[in-house]
This record gives sequence, structure tokens and C-alpha cells, in this order.
Amino acid sequence: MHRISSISLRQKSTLADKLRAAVTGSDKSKQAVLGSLTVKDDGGEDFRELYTMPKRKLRGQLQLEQATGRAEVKQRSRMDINDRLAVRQPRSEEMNPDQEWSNVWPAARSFASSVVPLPVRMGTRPNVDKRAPFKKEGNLELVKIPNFLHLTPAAIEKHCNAIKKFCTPFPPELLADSSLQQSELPITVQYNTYIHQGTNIRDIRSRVITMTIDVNSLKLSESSYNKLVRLAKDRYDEKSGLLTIITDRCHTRKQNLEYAYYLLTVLFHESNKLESWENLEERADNLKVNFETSQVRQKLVDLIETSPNSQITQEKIDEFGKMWKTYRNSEETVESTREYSRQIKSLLGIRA
Amino acid sequence: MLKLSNLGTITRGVRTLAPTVNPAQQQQVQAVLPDKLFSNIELEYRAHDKELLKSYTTFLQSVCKHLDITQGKIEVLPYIRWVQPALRSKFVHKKYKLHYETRTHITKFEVKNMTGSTASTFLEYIERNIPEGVGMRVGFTELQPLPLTISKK
Repeated sequence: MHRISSISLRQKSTLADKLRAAVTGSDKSKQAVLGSLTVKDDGGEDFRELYTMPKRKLRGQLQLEQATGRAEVKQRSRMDINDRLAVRQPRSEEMNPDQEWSNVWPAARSFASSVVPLPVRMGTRPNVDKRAPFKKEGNLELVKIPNFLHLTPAAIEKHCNAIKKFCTPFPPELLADSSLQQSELPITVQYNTYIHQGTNIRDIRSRVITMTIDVNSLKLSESSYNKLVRLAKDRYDEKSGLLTIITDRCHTRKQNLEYAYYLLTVLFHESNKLESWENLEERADNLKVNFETSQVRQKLVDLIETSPNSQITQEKIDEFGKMWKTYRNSEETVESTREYSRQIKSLLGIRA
Repeated sequence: MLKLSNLGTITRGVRTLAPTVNPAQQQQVQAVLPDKLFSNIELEYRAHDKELLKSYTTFLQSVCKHLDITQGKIEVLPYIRWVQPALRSKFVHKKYKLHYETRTHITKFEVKNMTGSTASTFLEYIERNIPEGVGMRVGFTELQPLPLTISKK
């Protein structure tokens, strides 16, 4: 502080003037200033100015000026003026609204308040109406959360247009005709892929394969169908007609898939084989109670012969047989029992 | 592989490995199609922040629109809560605890009828843009014909 003042005072000295003159040009100094004494003394020398008072405002004068308020306040720049001039305004204030945002934020990045030109605020406040949440400059909460600034609608469109050429359309024949899928592609294979962050990229659950097949598409005969049902046990669901094979006993997905195919092949071929002992099958061995070989049918057929004027016909017996089969092979309900009684009464001609 | 014959003490021949099979000579099981066919691909993604999942869902929807992929149903399932309380006091007072819980929000997104190449393109793009803290399960339902070992009558 002291040094600066001395420098500024020195700039007013005559020596300084002389130096300045010497630098700029000695024209001015040589010219006689109007009103100054240019009397030469007896020896022909120039008048040498006597130093009595310094050519500056003295302390008293300065204080008077300061007290009255007429002092010239000199703008003194701070020591860090150069550093402060080097600091620019944030980038977001120099951005053009028509710019390509995907060039500014091309990939996923944590929030940078100087780059994002949005007036975002974040923070919990007890009373939001009184005090707004904190602004984005220096806000750590905005940095901590994941942002989607790299996935603006324009950016997504740009990316999709770039990768669109790698997509192929789904066969329109399959979309148009739903039965075509059943006939051509009867097997459905289900498997999962897992994505998560961690030290291990693998997930053991991804090796599980669930293979579903519609048994109707295998086109099995009655006997081979029954054999398949017996072999598959729990894996076959009768209501939907789907055979489900779930494998996870091998280490990789490919191995499990091949094992599932192997099981399916074995099931198919085994069910088609006819063993010698299979002809020993009796009525009690059937999975479902059979109407054709039942005593009920036999008795009804006999009734046709014994009572000729009854209205029992073969067609009526077959119709009754269908109902009887569902009744015998499913869980008994009040409705099914009533249906049974209604049909038997109509068959035998008994008025209710 | 430790072969007992190398030890020298026991000379019994032990076959430790199955005989190597030449894949070219193996019977072809699966029918070869030009590309895989998926009837349904289910994306199930989980995170601790439900707003994040919402944003990701809108992203997925816009991607489906741009790539001409048929969207299936979008399901927001109830969150799974894991409660782990801490004792409020330094010593004794077991009755008084601080309730801490972790919530995992789940969203399901289905996508219908895609070929293998479309699926791999779509999924690669989706998976590269998963935000932090989101885990995903992708469930594939592939359509395949009957194997060659089963002859259709």
C-alpha cells in the first residue's frame, strides 16, 4: 500500500517529467511553456527552479479534500486483478438456444451446473413458498442423482435412426395367421438374461431353460399319447395341453437347451414304442374311465334289444357316453350330477 | 487332468475324460433357421428410485416407437420392502428402535414379436443406456420348430 502511493506521487515529480520527455521526444521540453520564466541570468544560463515546495498535494490538503468530500478517489486495482479477469462466465450463458444439445452432452455424465443452461433447483426446504430450494451452482444433490441429459428426445431419435439398419422385420405371415405359428413353431423356449452392477458379471439363473410344447403338434396316436402322459407326469398340463420341460442341471444355457431337446426326443420316441407287455392292459389300468368298455354302455345296448319300443338309439347312447365320461373323469359338482340325471331320464324316457 | 497311469504305482487304466466327439459328425438336433424369432421379450427393471424407473420407461417407449417395435403391456408392481431397524439407544431400551427400510421398485415392460437381429439391436442400445442403480432381467420367449429328431407324421 505504501509503495503504491509513493509510485503515484513520484509520477508527478520533475524528474519523471524529464524522463517522459526524453522518451516521447524532446520537442516539448525545448519549447518554452507560455507563462514560464525563461529569463537568463548574467552568465547566459537558464533559470534553475528552486525547490521549495513539492509538486504534489500535501497531507493537509488531501485531508481537507477528504473531509469535504471533494477528494478524487483513485480506482486502485487489487493484487488478484489478473486472476479475476481470467475467470470466464459459465459456459451455459454463452450457449445458443438453437445449438445441437447432443454435441454438448453426447454420453452419460454426472451433472455439471456450468454446462446445463436450465435454471434447476434442488433441495429440501421446510417451507418451499418462503424459501426456494438451493440453486444448481455447487449443489451436490444434483450431482448425486442419475440424469437423462444424454437421452433427450432428439438424441434418442438420432441414435435410433443410426441403428435402424440393423433391425429386421418380423415375418408378416406369422403375424397374419396365428395358427401358422402353432403348426410351424410349436416349441417355446424361455430363458432369462440378467444385468446388474457388481464384481461378477455372471448370474447363475441365466442358465435355466423352460421348454413348452403343445402336445397336439406331435400328432400322437391314442396309445402313445397315454404313454407320454404317464411318462411326463407333472410336466404335462391336461387343461392347456402343454408339456413343460425345465432344465438347469447343466452349467451353460446351451447345454441345458440341448438336454431339453434330448428329453423331448426321448419322450416322443419312447411313447411311440409299443412294448410286448402293453397288450396286457386292462380296464383298471386306464388313465381315464372308459365308456366304451363300461358296464353302463353294455346295459344300455342290451336295453335296445330287450325293450324294442323304447326310444334308445345308438346315437343317444354315444351322446350320453360323452357326458358320462366327463362326469366320471372330473370332480363331481352339483351341476354335473343334475346334468347326469337329466340325460339319463331323457334317455330312458322317464318324465321328471 | 490327473491320470493314475502317470503315477506309476497303479497301472489300472482309468478313463477320466469322455471320448471327444466331432460336432460335424454329430446328428443335427435343432432345425437351423435364418434368424431367431421371439414372440415376447419381457424387461423387468428394479431400482430404489421410482422416478428413475419412470424416466427409463419413457425412454423405452420412445425407442420402441422409433424402431417400429410393438409394445406389450407396461406393469408397475408394488415395491419390495426390506426393513432393518436399529436400536435407538446406546444401551438397553430394546422397545425403542429407529425404523430403516429399503424399497425396491419394480417395473415390467413387454415387447412383442421381434426377430433375433432386431432384439439384439434393441437390447444392446437399451442395456448400454441403463442408468446407475438399475438392475434388469430380460426374459426371452423364443419360437422354435420341432427338432429334426422328431419327425412330423
